[in-house]
Amino acid sequence: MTNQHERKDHGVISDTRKRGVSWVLIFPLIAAAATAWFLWTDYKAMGPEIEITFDEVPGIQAGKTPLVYRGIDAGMVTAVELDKDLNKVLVKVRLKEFAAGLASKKTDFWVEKPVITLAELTGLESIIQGNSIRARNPGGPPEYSFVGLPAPPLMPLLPGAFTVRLKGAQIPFLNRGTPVYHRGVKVGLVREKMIDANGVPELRLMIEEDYRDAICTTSRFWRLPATSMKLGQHGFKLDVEGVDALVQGALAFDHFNRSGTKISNDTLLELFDTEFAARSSGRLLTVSFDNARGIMPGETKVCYLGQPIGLVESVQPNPSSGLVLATVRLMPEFEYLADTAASFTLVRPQISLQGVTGLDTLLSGVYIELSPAPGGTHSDLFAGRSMSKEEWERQQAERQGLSFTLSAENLPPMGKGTPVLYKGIVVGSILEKKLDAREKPVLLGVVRPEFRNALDADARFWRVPATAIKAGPGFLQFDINGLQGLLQGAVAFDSFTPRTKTADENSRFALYEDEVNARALSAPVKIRFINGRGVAPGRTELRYLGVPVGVVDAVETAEGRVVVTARLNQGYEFLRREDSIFSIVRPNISLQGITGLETLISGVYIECTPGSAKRLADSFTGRSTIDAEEILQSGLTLQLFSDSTPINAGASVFYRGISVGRVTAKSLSSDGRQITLTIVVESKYRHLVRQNSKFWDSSGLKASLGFLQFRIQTESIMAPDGRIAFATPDNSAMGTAAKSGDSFDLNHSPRPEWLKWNPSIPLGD
Amino acid sequence: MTDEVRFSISKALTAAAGILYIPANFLPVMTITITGQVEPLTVMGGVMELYNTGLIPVALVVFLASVLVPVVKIVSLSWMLSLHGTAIAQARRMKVHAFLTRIGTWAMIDVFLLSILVAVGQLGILASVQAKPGAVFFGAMIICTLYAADIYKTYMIWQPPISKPT
Repeated sequence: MTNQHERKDHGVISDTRKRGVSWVLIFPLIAAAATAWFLWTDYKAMGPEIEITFDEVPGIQAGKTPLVYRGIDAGMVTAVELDKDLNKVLVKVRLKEFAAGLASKKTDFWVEKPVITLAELTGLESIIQGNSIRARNPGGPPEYSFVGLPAPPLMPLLPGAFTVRLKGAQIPFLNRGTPVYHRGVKVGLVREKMIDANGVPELRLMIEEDYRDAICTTSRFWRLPATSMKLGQHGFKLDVEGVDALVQGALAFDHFNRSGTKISNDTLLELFDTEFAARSSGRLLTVSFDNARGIMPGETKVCYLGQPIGLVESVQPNPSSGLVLATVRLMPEFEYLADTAASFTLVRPQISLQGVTGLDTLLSGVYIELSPAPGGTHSDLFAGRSMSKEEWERQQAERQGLSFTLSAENLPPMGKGTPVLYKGIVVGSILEKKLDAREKPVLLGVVRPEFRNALDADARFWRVPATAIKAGPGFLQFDINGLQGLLQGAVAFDSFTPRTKTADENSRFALYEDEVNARALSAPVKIRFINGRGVAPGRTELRYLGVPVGVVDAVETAEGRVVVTARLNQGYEFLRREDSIFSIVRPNISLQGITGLETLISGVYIECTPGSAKRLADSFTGRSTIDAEEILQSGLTLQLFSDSTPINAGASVFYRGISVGRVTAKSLSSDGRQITLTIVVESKYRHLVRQNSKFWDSSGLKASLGFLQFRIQTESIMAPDGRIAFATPDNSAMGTAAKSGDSFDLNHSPRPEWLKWNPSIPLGD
Repeated sequence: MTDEVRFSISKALTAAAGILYIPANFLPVMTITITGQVEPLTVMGGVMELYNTGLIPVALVVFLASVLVPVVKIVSLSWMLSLHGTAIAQARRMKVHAFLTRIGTWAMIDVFLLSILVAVGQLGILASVQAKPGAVFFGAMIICTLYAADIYKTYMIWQPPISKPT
């Protein structure tokens, strides 16, 4: 009231303040609007909240861990809680508004964490940015509660719809993430490795949708090893299939141009070890072997004309039949070859006299050769052979051959298959080596039918050593009887006599040490020696004029003597005459010369000097001569008696200054009173020795000093053993010719008249 | 500008500051990303972070300047403005006003801290600091309080009420 009154008094004051007040309100309004707008947009950006259940959530933090979908933040973990039983983790995620679609039934959620293994390197960004929750594959009706995947899926974006299951006996070195190749293109991954209810390992493969047409019912899977080594005649080859395959291997599949139909999801296919095994997918054949040594399931191949066309799948001994059953699969395109006419032969390396076969199997292992023949009928069961065709035929032939038995005192390391030679030709082989009833080793051999006639009833067998070295004066000979002989030696036979008749079946023969022994056919002769040094049975030869004519069979002692049993070869019977001389030749080195030097190398030998008697003898007294030449040419052996003499064996015997003989032995007479010198006068001079011949010691230098006969004897350098001279009286008094074994006195010095004797002695008087 | 306008603007700015105080404190002012770990921080969170890392004096200063001072300013401004035109506690209002204008700029310490952090803390993938909307609200609130205090002149405390007749 008063105001109105005053207004009337002081005029009207326009109310401008009201305008100012309303203008100034713009500040709080802007502030409120900005806040409201901000909060509104923030709220609008918020999507629904979802709940995911995990077994464990390492590194997931509320308010910090994002939910990542296709690489962008699609939400944020708002809470991490445990469930009531403390068994699960509940993760609450606030999705962003644009990602609200992730809250749908099909969405997979998983915790992404770094995986660093040799085979796999994923989630690398998680190392730096921390673990996150990932989502993929949204779709379906809305859903706000999920169960998270226990492990990250192999393909974060693709749904991986097409799955193939693989079964194999064992699937080593294949793991989650192992790549699957089709003709070199990576088309999928191994998703899971597991053992099914039957205990068979199973692989689940994920094939990318784009490539699902590559698989059909005829597709065969095989394992690509990380690295493969091939060692063969073509050298050494190392295959490395890419770096990822290098570490974990890989799978490959192909249908090898065999048409098939499309397969559905989750089809069960078979896994093979190698590509070749995958190729060999024909029907199952069973081949029985009596011995399957060397057959390796999954490795031993079936070859046709040298080319592998199939593979042994399994080898199973069958005790009831005593056979080994090998199951074999051929490549389908060669399957028609396996009919009843075909034969399966196990090829092993063979090194024998007949040749070296299957040498390639030394490197590649044994294989089974398929030899098809026309006219067979369809079959799944075959009887295999364990040896090569040639060997098979040879053995068949030998079974029909002429068998024989060889006995010997001992047998060298000579076994089954040792060849039997006749004049250098292989005519048979040794089948068996065993002990006979008397515990003596015997060899059972066979001569092939075509050579039946070669084996004579009185054939002689001897061993052909693998290698032989013969040495003698001026020659050194190595015998190597070929490669086969080098390995096992051989047995040879020959009938040195003219043919009589073919040997009977199962004849028994002796096996001689060598050909020399075998050739020595005649009855043994016994030679007695004082000293048998250097004589070796089977090795010491008997020689006539330097030619080997026999061999020493045995050396033994009897009555203080050495008895050498020797056999003479065919055609040298005349050496057995009663008065033949056998003497051991040993090396002798003296001033008279060097003789018997060859015996240094070849060993001693027994020189035979045939006698003239008509009768043959079996027993002889041998000599140990110094020089066989003298014996050879001597006809006259004399005994000289002396009470004492410096003359030794080896001293020369002179007639008128010419050497005509030699002292061969010096010994004590039987009563011990005198010394006996045995001298030999060469046969061409034997007529010079007469009954009345006088012998004296002419060695040394003699001098007479004064009335005393003082003898000075100096050893002659030329004749360290001394020398003996003799003279024969003039014709009237010479007497008859001396005979072998006659005795004479040895004088110390000649009488003067002896030196004047000058008889004329005709030869052969 | 009449005193009435000044008073109205001051009141409006104080009210705006009061409104802005809420998002400024509840929205994160920055995010610190260290090796991928995203750490959103509010003003109070930053103080706690400093405190937890052992920088207690710094934390105290930031707490005083960024948390306490704005509250004190808004509350005392409201108190001062509500008593405008009355004769109540005029001398005290003088003192409060002087205090407000003196400490007002200190509230910006948080903004400076943030701007330095954002500029320096760019270590690529290892660590980065980013300013967030909360900082804008915070800055706006500080500016509002600053101007609210500045535009309300000291002598206006002593003015008699407008509506009162002379």
